[in-house]
Amino acid sequence: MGLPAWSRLRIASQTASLILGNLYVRGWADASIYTGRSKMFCIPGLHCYSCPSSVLACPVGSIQSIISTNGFLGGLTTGRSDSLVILGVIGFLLAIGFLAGRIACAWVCPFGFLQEMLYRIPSRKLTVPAAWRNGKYLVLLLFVLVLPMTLRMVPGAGGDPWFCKVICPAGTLFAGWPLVLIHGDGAFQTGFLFTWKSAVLILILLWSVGSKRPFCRVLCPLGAFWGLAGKASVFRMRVEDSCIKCGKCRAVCPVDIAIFREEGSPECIRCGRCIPECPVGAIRHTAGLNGAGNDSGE
Amino acid sequence: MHRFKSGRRLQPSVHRRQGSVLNIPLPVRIALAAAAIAMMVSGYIWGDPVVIWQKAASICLECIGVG
Amino acid sequence: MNHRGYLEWLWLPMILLFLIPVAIHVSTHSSIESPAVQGSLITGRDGLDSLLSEAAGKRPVIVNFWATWCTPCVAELPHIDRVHSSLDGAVLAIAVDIGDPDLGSLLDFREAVTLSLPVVWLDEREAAQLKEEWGLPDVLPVTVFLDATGSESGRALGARSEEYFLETVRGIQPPDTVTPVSDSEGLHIVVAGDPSDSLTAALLDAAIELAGEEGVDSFDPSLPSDREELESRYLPLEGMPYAQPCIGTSCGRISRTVEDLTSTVNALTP
Repeated sequence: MGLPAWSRLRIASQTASLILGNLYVRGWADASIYTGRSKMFCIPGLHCYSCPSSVLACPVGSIQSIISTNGFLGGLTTGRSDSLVILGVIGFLLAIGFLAGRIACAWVCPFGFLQEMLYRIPSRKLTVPAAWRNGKYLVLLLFVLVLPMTLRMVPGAGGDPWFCKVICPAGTLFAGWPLVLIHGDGAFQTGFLFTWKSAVLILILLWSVGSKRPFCRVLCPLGAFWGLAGKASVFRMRVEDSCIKCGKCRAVCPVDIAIFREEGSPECIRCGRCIPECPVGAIRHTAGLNGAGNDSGE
Repeated sequence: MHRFKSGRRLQPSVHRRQGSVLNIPLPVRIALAAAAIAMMVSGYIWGDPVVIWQKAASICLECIGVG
Repeated sequence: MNHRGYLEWLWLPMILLFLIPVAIHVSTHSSIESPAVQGSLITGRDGLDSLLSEAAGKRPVIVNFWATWCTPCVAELPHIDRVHSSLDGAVLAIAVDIGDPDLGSLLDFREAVTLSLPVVWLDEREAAQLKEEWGLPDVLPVTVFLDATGSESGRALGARSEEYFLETVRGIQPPDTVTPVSDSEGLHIVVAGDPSDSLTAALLDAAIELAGEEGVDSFDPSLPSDREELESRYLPLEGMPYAQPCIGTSCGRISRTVEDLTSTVNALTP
């Protein structure tokens, strides 16, 4: 393959995560989903819990589910256990974010893995305008937080997981399409939302061929969350003074950033691809343990 | 900025690259991570993780755009 | 430069574009008026079984499995409720909550939403048991249709419209015979009561007049074998004397006076 060892390790990690998160293979045979207790825990990545083989829960879906229950905010203040569980999910995401930022995007997330694989398909390649990266923060705010918490379609019912309903391509690809196709028609009544989401999925998959990880950079609310937390993460990238700004790091970066220009970038997924690429060896990981990464001293 | 014949440059300042870097000292970063872990653990203990399971173990068809 | 400027800002309308399906979806799923009186809440498997056994042999049943947190479930419940109430007892609809381990959430729900159909709540254990016994997929909502003999005639995965329920229910054909009573397609009346009671005698007379000697079955609650027979036909064991008229699998109300019996039979016969 000609890739550096670090990158081969990363592909192995992504593959292993895909397998370990999808051990319930039987689900594909009979269009069922796993109902074991492991689904109390979230996968650190975007993978629908309605995927037939998934044995873990999706953190984004879980957040929407919890905050959309009636009386969620009140429940937080009174200590209702079905509200307090949000701390478990948010804490899980923050822990990863504060430890190593968007590292799971590079090393675990199945949908990120898919986009990287699609980009390898030879085609005309397009850059994504830098400002588009703001989109994912709006997706997080509006579709994961505000709408589920506030919008009510039916009186008495809770809210809806709007990110899952109108955006998430991982859900359509790994859950919606398999369940509808395997179960056959009649049982599942596919309607407008299914068509909409299928179109969104196809567009994103096509875009992934022409651009680097477009969903991760422009739409993913999980990436948005981890990116923000990652600005205060322990494990991060460092660029030394010896950098000559040649831009070779950007050429191989899976999220198309020039790390020397955006060292603390919320885009960086800590994949390490840029490290062997730098001709002067100016880039490295740091967890600040050897003292050299201490920002306050500089 | 002075440029040598080889093309390499002398780098006078370290601050020019700190545009997107937050100057948070390492101990604070570690404390934040620890607090998050504590939050996660307490969330699972005080909260009802069955709530996560129950949504994850039953296909909510609307979530996958069906029905 | 201007062109590039516009391109940069495109992310904003791109994200807001996703509000369109939100708006469409919300507008096509509007809620409807709620009924005046709240139906009964039954907890436990026994409750469900007794509801089902009461209906078996008499009328089709719509068994809808749902949970308070499942929005499409909650959205279709009023529609099922309307089918239940508009057909005036010809069809029984039961809403079985198998997704709320905490009864409290269901009680909170009932404070906000009124449904006239009976609601059954099963705890986690019984819900899991039921799911296995009935082979329910891990999907909500699921609706199981039982025909008038009590056997399953179909299932629907996912929410459906009111029209769908009405059509499906109309499509459930009653069998030619009523089990386990008799194979008479004509009027058949069951009279249960103490034979020495004058009211029982009056009911019996009226029944024979309406259905003929052959069309009446009488049962004495003091006889264990008769009680057993009543039980097996899913008929009540208290509130006697009473008379229950049936034509095929369409049964009328339980009548406790002669006048009532007469009017019920008239209502039954087209």
